[in-house]
Amino acid sequence: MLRTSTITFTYDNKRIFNYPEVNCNKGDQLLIYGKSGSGKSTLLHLLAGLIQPDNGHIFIDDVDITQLKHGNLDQYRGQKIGFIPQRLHLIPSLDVRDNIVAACYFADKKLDTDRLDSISDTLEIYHLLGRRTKSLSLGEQQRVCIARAIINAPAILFADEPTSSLDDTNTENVMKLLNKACSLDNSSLVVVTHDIRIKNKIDHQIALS
Amino acid sequence: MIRKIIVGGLVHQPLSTFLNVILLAFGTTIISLILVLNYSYNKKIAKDLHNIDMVVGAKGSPLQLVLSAVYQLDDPTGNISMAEVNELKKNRNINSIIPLAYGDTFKGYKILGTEYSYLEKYNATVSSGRLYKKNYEVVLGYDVALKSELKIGDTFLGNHGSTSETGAHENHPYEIVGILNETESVVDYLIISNVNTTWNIHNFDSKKVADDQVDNSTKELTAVLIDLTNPTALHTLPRKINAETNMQAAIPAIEINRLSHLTGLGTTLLEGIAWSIIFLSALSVFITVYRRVQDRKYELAVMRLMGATRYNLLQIILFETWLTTTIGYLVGMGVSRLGIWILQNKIIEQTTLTIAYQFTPTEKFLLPILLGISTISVIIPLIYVFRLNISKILADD
Repeated sequence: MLRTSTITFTYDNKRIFNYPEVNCNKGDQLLIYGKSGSGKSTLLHLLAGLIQPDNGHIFIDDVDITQLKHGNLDQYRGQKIGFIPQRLHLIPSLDVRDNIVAACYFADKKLDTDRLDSISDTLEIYHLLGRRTKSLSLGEQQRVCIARAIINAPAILFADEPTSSLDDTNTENVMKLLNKACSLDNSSLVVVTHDIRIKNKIDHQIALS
Repeated sequence: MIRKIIVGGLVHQPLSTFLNVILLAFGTTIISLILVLNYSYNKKIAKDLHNIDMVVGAKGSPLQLVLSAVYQLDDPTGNISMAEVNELKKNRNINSIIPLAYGDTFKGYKILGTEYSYLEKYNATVSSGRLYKKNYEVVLGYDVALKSELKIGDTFLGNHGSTSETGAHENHPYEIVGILNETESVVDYLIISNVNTTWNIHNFDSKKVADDQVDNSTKELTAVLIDLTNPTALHTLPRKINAETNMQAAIPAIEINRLSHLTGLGTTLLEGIAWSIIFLSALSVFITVYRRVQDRKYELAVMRLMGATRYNLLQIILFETWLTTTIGYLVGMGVSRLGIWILQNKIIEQTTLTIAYQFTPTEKFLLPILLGISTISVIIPLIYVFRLNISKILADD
């Protein structure tokens, strides 16, 4: 599903990150753990094709995304990769439904309304679909971001520090939601965190130093 | 979806959108008004001039003579004697002479004594009633009939001079026998009778003579419009008339060129001011869009996460700019047309200038020009969006 060779990346022409090989099979979960500054978010961005490595290859579903041209990579990301950024940013001019549907539009995929309903039910946001995003609580925003990330049935879901600003109860809830979301399409899950509370939630781990 | 994102993006920032629309609308309004007024003015100048090679009237300002005799915009320079006009008719370079005799007005509209050839010159035809046949019978120009509420069969008293304060010719009412079709020329703003009517009404008042008993020696005209047989006579005939008679010859084309040169300076200045406003609008669009893309960089980065290409983001920014510009243009054109209506109906009601509501030829290019300017003004924000480093934006937050 996801595999890489050893990849290196130079950050701001100053610091060189050498990352270990990453492997994650279909439906599996992987935790990338490390302190601040260890380059874990940068690794996640590399895996999602947001930046290009200096050396090495990244395969998702046997496609080497380092070899894809800009436009193809964008479309591939939209169709195969779900990404939940650390900051839960939604498009403020759109309502909740359109925030989720926008992911279909940009990925050039037809909206499956049954799937939207099913995801909304699973993540308990069905009643929020017509609401403006500014009226949502942090927890509601997080669920909408997850729905947006999985609407296109991605092969792999990346989550960047999904619990860093949450209390214990909500941390538990978010991890349950991510599991639920991935189980819908048997998607792989890669979580990057420095949050020690979720260290025991995912067996397969890579520690960055 | 893209439509929702674009419209939503503008609605979500109402103040900056409003400011851009207002600035663009303001510039569009002024440019449009200048273009329309200029176009209408030039069209009228050309239409009223209508093959008039030369105007002969009393000595004085040649421009005043042309403005009064051709455009009915100024007081005449004086009168010329019929005897001298008859001498002029013998000149072989002259193809036709149309006499003009006036001195009276009704509610600000000039009452002109002339021949049918004047109406033929401007292709004026009768829409209802008939042409004048006898003294004191008049036909109304289209605009006069429309605004004076006079109708066929009505009679009215003319006022001596150009205002109603100089006394009416109470013994001789004019009778309306016909109304003319619209000609979009000076004829629309005139009340027209035969020349004898003008002569009789003034001799009757001053000398108490019976109708049609006007002394030939007192017959005078205000001016005559002349068509030449040979254009080369334009170089010699005016000089001859000015030197050898008590009359003055003026060439309308030359006088109007001189006038246009003077008014053209003002028009150029106004156009400059209007384009400066458009430039300021473009600057405002640049600042607003640049600030907006910086404020929305995370939103744009999230779109890229969802699979949006760089070109999708450029499309959003460009369409937002074009939509703002188009709304500004439409508001500006609407205000400009309202301005024309106010000018036409409330301010310059009784001038002989008809202002066109329809698009002038140059106005058709205004929207593409504005879209081009606004596109240029967002090039830097577009480059910023194209180079957006999603990873850095996500990491910085």
